[in-house]
Amino acid sequence: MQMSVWTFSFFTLFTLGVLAKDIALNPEGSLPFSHEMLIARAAIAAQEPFIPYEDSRELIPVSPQDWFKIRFLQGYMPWNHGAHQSFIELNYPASFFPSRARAFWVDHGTVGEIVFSNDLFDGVPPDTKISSSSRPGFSGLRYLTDLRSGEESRESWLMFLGDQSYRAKIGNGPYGSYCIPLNVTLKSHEAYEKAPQFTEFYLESRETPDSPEVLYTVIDGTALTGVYRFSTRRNATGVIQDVEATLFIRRSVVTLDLIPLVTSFAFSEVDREKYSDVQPEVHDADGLLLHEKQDAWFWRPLNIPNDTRTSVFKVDTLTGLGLIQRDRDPDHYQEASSPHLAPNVWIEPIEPFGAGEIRLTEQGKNVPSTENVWIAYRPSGETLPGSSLHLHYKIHWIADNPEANGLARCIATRIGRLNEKNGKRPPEAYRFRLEYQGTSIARNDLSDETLKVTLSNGNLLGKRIIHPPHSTRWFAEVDLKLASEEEAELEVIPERNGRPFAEGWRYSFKAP
Amino acid sequence: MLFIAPEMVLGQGNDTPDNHRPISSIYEQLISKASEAVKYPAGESASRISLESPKITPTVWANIRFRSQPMPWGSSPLNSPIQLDYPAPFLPFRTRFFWADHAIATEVPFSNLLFAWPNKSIKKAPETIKGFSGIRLLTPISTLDKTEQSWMMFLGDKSIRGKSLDATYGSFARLLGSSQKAQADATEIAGLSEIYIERVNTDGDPEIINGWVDNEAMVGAVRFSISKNTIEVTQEVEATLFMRQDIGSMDFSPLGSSFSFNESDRKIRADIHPELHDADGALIQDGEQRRIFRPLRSPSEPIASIIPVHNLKGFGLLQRDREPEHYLDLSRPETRASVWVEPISPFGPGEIRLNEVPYEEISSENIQMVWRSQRSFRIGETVHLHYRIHWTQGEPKTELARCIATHIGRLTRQGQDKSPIPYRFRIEFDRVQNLPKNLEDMNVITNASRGKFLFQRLIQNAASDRFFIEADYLPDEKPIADVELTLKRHDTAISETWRYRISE
Repeated sequence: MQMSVWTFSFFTLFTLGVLAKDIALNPEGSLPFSHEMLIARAAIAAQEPFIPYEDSRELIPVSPQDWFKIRFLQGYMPWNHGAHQSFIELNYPASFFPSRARAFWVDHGTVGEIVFSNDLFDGVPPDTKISSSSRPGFSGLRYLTDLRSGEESRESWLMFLGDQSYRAKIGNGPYGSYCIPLNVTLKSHEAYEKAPQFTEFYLESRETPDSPEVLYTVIDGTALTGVYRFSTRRNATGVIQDVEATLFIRRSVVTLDLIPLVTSFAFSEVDREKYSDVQPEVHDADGLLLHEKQDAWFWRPLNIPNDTRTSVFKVDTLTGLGLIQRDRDPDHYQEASSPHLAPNVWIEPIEPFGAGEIRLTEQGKNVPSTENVWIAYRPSGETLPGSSLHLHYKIHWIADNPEANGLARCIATRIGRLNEKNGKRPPEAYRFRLEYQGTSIARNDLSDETLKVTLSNGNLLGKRIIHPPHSTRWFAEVDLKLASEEEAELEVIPERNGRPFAEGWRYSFKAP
Repeated sequence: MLFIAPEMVLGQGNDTPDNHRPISSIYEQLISKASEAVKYPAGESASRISLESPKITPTVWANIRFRSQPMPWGSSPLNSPIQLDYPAPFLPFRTRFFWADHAIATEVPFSNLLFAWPNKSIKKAPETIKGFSGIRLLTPISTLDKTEQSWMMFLGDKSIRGKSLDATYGSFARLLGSSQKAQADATEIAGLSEIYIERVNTDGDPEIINGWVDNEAMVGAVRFSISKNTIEVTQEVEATLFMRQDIGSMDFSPLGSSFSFNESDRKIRADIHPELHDADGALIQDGEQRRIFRPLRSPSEPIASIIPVHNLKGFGLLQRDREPEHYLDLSRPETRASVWVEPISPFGPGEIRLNEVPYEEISSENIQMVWRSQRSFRIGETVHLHYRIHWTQGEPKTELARCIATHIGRLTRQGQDKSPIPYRFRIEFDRVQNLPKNLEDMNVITNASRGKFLFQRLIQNAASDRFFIEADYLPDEKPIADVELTLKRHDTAISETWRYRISE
């Protein structure tokens, strides 16, 4: 069983307890709990090897359609009582959200387990019921809206699905991009292990109705173990999570990818194939936004190559990073699921992450996956066994873009074949037009405005800034000719008197 | 100073009009002249002297300015100022220009002295040349705009173009096409070898432009009665044409435009503009109920579409998409004038022909739409035409929901490897308020000349003033077909009929 690793540790000191009035809780009584105790337990566990899940776990035959109909019975739950009610549902186990995570309730420094039971759920098809004796845990959990505060319907706003991902959404909008805690690669023959998983969830009671929802999770895997603390607030504009992670390294880690974000991107205005779909655009995010320092902001529109590609951006300091759904015009999606309301995910380090690189991986067109784009921050250097890491950052699930010192934003990218003077359109010559909105109003004298252009492949043929009349937008245009079939990395920074007055723009481009 | 040769053109020889005789209108005089001229071969065709044109480039030509100088219309404040275009090889058909005051016409002959030159080294046209490469009506400088801009042009490509004040030129009209061959693919366009602009004597009267047609096929007169307001320029056109030959095919009011791509068929990385066109659809009003909207295409191979019409009320080329963000071009394609032809006297039995050829940078006027008359015309026969041309940013009123966008996707293959791949169409309509709450008695009527529709449905978008019709269509092994969709309630049309040409 997955819990065996803990049985030796001091966790046995507070063998699972219960609040006697709730049948759901373990009847052995409640025990003391604190963040520090959980961290200390992880420190000890890190000295022992990880024991993975047994493959013999019960297969759960419930179909997604049936699973969505299963209701968690909150009436039994400790958070369903008292003045500062929370509305939390634990997910019935499902093979498509593999997880055996256990759930605990923390109330004023004591903890008790909510032991899995079919009786906690309504609507489980009889032939798919899991035997309670196998202690299967839960496939994550969901925080629901509070109907007393004028919400129209009971729906979730924060979800931990399966054992890896979590995501939040804004108001009645849809979910979109999501986070996973970590990705690692090891030096040993297990070149790439399954990312460490959430194995335990500790839900904490709230002091006041305005208190954040606090959740501790234990993360565990071959490479490391540790504790995450999420303190989450929700308001009309979105969800903000304060995240603290303490990680203990078990095995020598070659690469450690922090805060991986994942999204789904099929096509946008820049790379829509003819007859690809009846929707003008299909994506949950359309760009990576990077803030290094001060006026160094970069926008990298997502685009899907033929073959999987990883773009790397080295940074000395990271002030912010995210996957942004910048295009908020419903006409650009025309989709009942309202992707124009999908949240941006913006990571803001509170403690510096140190020097490292941003890695953006875009899966090729041939890969049949919809969760096809991910980004992560990879600190430089190897992480040695026995070491520990402390991370502290915020995750903003919001519709707005982070404020960028008033810099103009790139709102669309257009690519066209370039007509040469002889009227030919060679396949290696292109015009890029970046549409910007903001700050730079139309001016008569543009002599102090210029585009700083960097090309990894090819020659710059021309560049210009265009202020169309009757428009709040302006265009940065770059003409170039590729020198080879290599992928070209492009960077354009609009500058006025040597200082950026707009976001920089980056792109990876290959002639078809 | 310029010397303007007064030349009495309508009288025979040097005859002066008899002051005691009742003066007939220029149009009547031209008809009377044509009824004689039909007995003789075509007169000196202006196109034949195009060889004399100086070899100048469009850029140089655009900088040759028609001088502001004493001109006969200068004393006529109710007329629009007129500008004459310098002869150019790329506008080869030449038109002689006459000013008509109380039905007496005076020619303004070509002279290099009428023009100001940006550069003295440019080789000029010989003084013996006859006529101009274009005639433009201008907005008087005193109006809102500081610059003098034109609002109507008759150009040496035999085109007629109009626009309202805040619009830009786009689609164009021509007078007539004819061919001796029956079922001809292409017809010879009739040009106006002489233009007579009449003095306006009463405020509020339309401006009258008369044209003289004289070619191997026919001779005759055309009268344009032109009025304009802020939203529309309207030309009432009357033509009386005498056939010099048997005519197998005749096209009334051919229209032309430019279409590269729109939201339906934009190629990846082809162009930095989201859409590129002067018109995005052909509209046909057939009777009161049937209104066909056919989005335009720039095909990879030329396509000729024939659209049967039973009771023609009008046809035109529309720039229906008026959203600047769909073009992002400094020339403001969102303001292009649409053109709409409305017969006053019925055009008789016929059909709409729509020809689409691949858009190329060099020849961007790749769309042609005509009314092809079903009958032939005999030598000596007289053809009368009476219709209106509207140049507007709007379109004829309708209660029907209008097709405002066409989105096309391909589905996955249904059968084995070589089976055709179905299309999915999603057609966006406005006027969702026309839909009843209960959609049970609504039907999407489909029609396909080949292949078949697999399914169709109506999608309401609660948050929008639009609705969608979505339909999957399976082509047969030959992937060329005309398809149609109409939303109906019982037998009553709720929407326009969306029509499309499928071709690989």
